[in-house]
Amino acid sequence: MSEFKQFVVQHVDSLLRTAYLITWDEREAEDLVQECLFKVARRWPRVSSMDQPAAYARRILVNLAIDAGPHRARRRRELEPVLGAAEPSSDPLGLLHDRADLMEALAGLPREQRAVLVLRYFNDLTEAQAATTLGCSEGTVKSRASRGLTRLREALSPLPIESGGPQP
Amino acid sequence: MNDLLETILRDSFEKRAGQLDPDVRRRLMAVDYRPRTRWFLLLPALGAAGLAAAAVGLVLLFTLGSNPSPASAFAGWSPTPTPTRPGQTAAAIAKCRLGRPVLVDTRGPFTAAVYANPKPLLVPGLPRVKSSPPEPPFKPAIGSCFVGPHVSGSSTTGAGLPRAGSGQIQLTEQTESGGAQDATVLDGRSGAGVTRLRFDLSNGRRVTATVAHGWYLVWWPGSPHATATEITTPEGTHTYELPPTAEVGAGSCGSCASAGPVITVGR
Repeated sequence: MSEFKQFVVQHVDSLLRTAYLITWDEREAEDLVQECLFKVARRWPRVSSMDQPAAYARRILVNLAIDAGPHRARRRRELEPVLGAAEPSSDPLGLLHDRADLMEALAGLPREQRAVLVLRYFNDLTEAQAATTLGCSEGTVKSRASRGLTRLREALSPLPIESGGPQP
Repeated sequence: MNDLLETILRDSFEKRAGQLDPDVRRRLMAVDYRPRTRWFLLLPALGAAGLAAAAVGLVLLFTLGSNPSPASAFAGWSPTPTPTRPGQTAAAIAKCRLGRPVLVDTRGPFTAAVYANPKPLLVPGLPRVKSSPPEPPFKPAIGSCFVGPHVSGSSTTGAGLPRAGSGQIQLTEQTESGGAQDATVLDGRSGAGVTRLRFDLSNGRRVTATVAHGWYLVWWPGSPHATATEITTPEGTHTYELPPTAEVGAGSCGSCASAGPVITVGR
């Protein structure tokens, strides 16, 4: 198996999941990952010598996803299925994890904000790493994350997330 | 406060990511991502072998601009349509000189367009090329054109395409320019309700067409042919196998209906 093929095998899942969460659309995610891998393949001799080829691929992917946002926004709204009702959860946070409200709020975030949240809370990148991936400053990452979290909190406002203090 | 929300967020992302169809991964794994290395877009090759798809009066011209390397002729091409840059469409329309397009498709620096009842084809600076079999003069009914940094091409056909039925597309020949390695174009009518149209190619790639106003267009570098098409309508997404290039129009497609040089695909 070629080195590039091994790279695809190892990272296609992560790339696909990341694209899916940023675009919120499975078909668009597939297109973007395919496009990303074509780009990586064309530059493979150089990419393969990098310390973190996967980070480079993710940077291409995330920026493709963000750049494509306005172009595909209308179609995405048309195709996006409405999330079903929450299923019962066994997590210690009760029903919060499965709240359709949160999913709807995530789906409604601007793509740049959702990308930051995906990089921070799905890919577990630091703010500095997220900034490198997005090609922006750490301050921009912080502000986008803050605005995104604020909108999510607002979507979940009926829940006791806002309370913060100890519960009686 | 944020810790709780972040925990919920992580969990929600995992849950959402877990909903991905495993077939998507399989398709991505099956694609041949190796870069193409052979590109030929030489006008002299056009006259000899480039017009096999001229059964309906097709004229197809491709030309290289000044001194491009063949490998870079399609640099920047995208398998999916990309946002239009300011002035890109207007510049392409001006260069194509086929009239007002009914559909415009942009892929990186390339602009392609479909024309209904276009003006007779005339690419400035190029000699007229005879079609095979020679049919001119004819009044073109459909035209397509694309313009890029180093390559431009135009085609017209003398036969009109019937309107496609709801949820269907009309597929004509998969036209390609002269040599064995250049570009392949698919365009035609799309029926009501067709919101997305994708094609699987013989090299494993998947390309997405631009669909608008009852028309579609997609093109790709090189000579791989489309082996299947995926049509999305509000009722769902269905995939149809396509006949080999040489058999398009012969009615051999199991899900297709033949009408001379045109086949209908879809339900």
